[in-house]
Amino acid sequence: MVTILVGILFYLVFFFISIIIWNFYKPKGEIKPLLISLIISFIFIYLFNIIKNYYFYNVNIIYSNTLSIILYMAITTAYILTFPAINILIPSFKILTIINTKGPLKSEEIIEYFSASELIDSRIEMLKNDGLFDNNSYNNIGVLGKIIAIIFIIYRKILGASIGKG
Amino acid sequence: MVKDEFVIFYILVLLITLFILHIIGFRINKKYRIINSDLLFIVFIGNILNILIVFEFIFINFYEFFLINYIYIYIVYNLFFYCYLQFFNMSDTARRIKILIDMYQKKENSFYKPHYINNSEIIRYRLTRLLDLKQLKIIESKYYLSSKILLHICLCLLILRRLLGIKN
Repeated sequence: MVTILVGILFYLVFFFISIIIWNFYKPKGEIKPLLISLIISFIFIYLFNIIKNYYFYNVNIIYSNTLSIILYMAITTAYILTFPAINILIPSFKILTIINTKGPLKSEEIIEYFSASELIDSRIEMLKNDGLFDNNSYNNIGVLGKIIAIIFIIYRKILGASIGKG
Repeated sequence: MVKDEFVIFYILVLLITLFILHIIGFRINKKYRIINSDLLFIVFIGNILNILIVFEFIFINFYEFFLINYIYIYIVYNLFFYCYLQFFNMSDTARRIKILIDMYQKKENSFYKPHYINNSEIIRYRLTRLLDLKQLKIIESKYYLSSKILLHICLCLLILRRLLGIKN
């Protein structure tokens, strides 16, 4: 039980740091701020273990640090993968909220609520802000962008599926 | 006391099994269309393993785990299962991933014309997915809400958004 609670505590540190970063610095990209939150929370875990081993070594609480860190990583990864849906209202959710507020609509009427700049240009801008383009231009993707593209191409090939429609 | 290695090994086996079952099942489902939605298909596979965890605990308990170990395994497995579901979802519908792949493959019109992806195509694809997920229903060519599960998830994310101070 303590293992689970410590894992959640580690995650809360990460979450708290990300709240501070987004509220005070209002970053444009997603990858860098999340990475900074991750690094700071890992430093916290490291310090937590040092304090525990030096000052509380005689406190008899049985828990596994490794399993706590694995739980922390699982919650954090889930949060990071959900983050794009938090940062920008994704089209599927926007469709649901539009129908919920406006009532039943035809597909043509729903499409009118979406502009090209919202669907594509904003995403290209976000890729640029995250440093996925080479030399800050729109002409080439950088190394990280290539790695991400290759991972998804290989994954879809393993699945036997065509490249996603976007 | 149960060794950490056994717990980690157990979770690893579950995740590898999930991946292999999904690859095999996805190919079979693609051919015979047993479950209409790819997302629901992953949920189906993931829940088979959830049932197997409970079954293993009650009838076998190979590593002689305690109940708390199983609770831990159940939580961590489901979190990573959710991550995998999101990863698959990104590979299917994320526009940023689509743009990166097109640019990597140097497809014509990929980056010189940012509007190369058709707006209506994007929305129609999502409408189809929401119909498959039984979140929408269509009556006389009009879309109605048929379930509010995803809508409630959306509202939770909007609360989280406010907490983070995101306004765009």
